[in-house]
Amino acid sequence: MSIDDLNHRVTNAIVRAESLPTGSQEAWEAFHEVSALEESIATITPPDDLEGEIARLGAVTAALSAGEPLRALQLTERFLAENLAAEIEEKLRQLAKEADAELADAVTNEPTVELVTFSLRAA
Amino acid sequence: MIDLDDLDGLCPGLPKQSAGPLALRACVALERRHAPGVTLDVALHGAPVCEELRWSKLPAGVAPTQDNLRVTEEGAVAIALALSARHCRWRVVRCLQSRLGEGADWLMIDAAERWVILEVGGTDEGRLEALLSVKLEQARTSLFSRRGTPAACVVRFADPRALLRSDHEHR
Repeated sequence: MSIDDLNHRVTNAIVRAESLPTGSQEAWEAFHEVSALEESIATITPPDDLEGEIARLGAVTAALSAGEPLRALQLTERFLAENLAAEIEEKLRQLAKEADAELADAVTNEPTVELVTFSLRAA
Repeated sequence: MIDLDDLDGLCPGLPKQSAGPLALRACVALERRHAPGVTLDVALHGAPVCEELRWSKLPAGVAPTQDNLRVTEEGAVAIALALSARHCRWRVVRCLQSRLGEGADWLMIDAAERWVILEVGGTDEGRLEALLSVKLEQARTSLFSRRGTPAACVVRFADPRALLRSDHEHR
């Protein structure tokens, strides 16, 4: 897919995602699509180009908006290994901190799972 | 004349699927007080311009389903993109996520193939000059402004008026 096609698709996906109620299932799914499109743009644009910078930061922010902090961290790690401008690197590190905080929050607030043992007897 | 029914035709690079909802919200914002054919007073880099705004009158029942804040914000985007295409010959490259930070709503490209970072603001009745200063400053301090020209466009719907300014133009 060409960069123009991807730019059209990501524009449509962002306009749609941002019109949905924040935190709704629909919004999470829409932002997941935004993140995937941004990631596709990132793969065909250099890290030191404006469109490449927007796409890399966009993939991570959309993953956070999609409620996917683990994906956000994985993307951040991948992008930080590239030749990015210092400002972009700094922003990615800020986003990684947000993702870390969301993961920690999820661990704290998730219901406790306790091991229950039982045996089956033949009827 | 700006025909909001043909926003994608007016704005090169803007996909029809995005143009539809943006234009709809501009129509809702305008129909709070105005009918199709109302004049928009514009200051483009300080120079006055008048534009007639046309659209097909909305069916009753559409406006109450729309969120007021979103109507004003996205309606302003529709007008800003139309003005920047018609008068500055900027082409839409893509929309940016609002969570990416203040100061960069749309990535555009000008006739000389230079990047333009456009920030847009909308208000129903507020002061436009103050809003333009804020938005232009946000565009200047955006993460991406070091690679493109910062620009801002603000729109008011009560008495339709818009201000557009970029750092490459004489002020």
